[in-house]
Amino acid sequence: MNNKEEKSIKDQILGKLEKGGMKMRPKYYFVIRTILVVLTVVLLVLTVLFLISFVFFQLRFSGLHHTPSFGLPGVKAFVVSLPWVLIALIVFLTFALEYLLKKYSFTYKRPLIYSLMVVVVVVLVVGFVVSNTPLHDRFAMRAMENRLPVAGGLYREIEKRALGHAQFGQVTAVRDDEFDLETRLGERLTIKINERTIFQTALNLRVDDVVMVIGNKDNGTVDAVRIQKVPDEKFPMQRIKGRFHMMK
Amino acid sequence: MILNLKAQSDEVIAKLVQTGDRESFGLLVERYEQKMKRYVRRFLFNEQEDITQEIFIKAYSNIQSFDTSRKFSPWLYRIAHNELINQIKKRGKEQVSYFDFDTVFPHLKAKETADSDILQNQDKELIGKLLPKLDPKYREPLLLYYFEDLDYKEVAEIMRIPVSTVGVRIKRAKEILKKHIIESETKYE
Repeated sequence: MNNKEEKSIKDQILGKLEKGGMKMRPKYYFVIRTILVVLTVVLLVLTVLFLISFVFFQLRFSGLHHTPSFGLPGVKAFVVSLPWVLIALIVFLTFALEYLLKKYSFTYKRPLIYSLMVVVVVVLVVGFVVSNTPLHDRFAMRAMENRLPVAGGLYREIEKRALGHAQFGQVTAVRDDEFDLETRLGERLTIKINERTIFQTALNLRVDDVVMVIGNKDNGTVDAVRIQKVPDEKFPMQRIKGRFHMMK
Repeated sequence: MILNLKAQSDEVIAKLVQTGDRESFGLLVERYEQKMKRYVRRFLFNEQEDITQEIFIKAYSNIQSFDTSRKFSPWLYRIAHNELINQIKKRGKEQVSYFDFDTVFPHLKAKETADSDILQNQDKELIGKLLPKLDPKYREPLLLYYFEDLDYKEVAEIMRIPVSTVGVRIKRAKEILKKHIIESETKYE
């Protein structure tokens, strides 16, 4: 019985081969498939790196990375103002990358958490490093001149982006219980100081000081809840702002 | 020539098939037919010749992707694994999860003790009968390890999971089977 079946399967396979009923995929099919997978992985890595470095750049550009030093209201402003859609996209693409890498033995031979940790750490570190290169500054300039296709919208969006209740800018005039502030986006605001206002640092404000203010904005006026001076070196986007002004 | 070929390794024969010697594929079918039939029967609980045939058809179709510097049998079992998982999904009677947490985190090596390894003392026929009691994810490593005599590394390669996960799944499978064996023994006493 077994011998009969054995013959039958082998014979059927050989019969099909004889009649041309079984086709062997050519070697180049697998080579092309591997190249496509590798290209997709490279594209995904570059996209994730670009997006994560863009998020770091955006935090720096908007001055949002200073807000947590404002205590709980600062942390709240930080969380509310994070680009969550972009972060969700990065998480999705990272999982897609992990899914593709799972097909390779260097990934599936070890618990997934290891490769996931490597991907996350590499992406965060390289993303942070890239965000500190002039790449995004240049892209931002091009975007403002409408010379950056595809990603241009991302950079122009930073300009429009509201920072929750946090405002960053340079002091342009100081009066008794208020001062004028020109934000990074060129918006002119009047900051009202009242008895509820908390000064995180010794105030002694002067024209050209860079400050961060938390408070409700209404029709060009902000009722300051907290004010903190930001050292010049911690506000690198002045350079960008200068360029934009020159361009205008 | 045929006599010569019969003495050759699977990998040498697979290389011949890759270079256009279609007839040699029959020799690979002959070598693995019984193993594949057994694997299909124990995994799906019935012997379906068409599924075994389909495994060999797919192996032939994809043979150019086989790296002849590696072992042929895990490669063929991997094709069989994919085919059987597809069959289980098609039937819809059993759940096959796309994602398992036991592949995410590292595990300590599963300890083997004389007491825990109840399967060593049971005949394979009884264990074979109890296989349907197991989820596919526990059933497959157990049958590859105990019935197909593959080692943990090969099972891991076939299922594309870490070796430590193979150990954990086999340990859990044995625990489940142990429970059923004890239950059935109590019934007959």
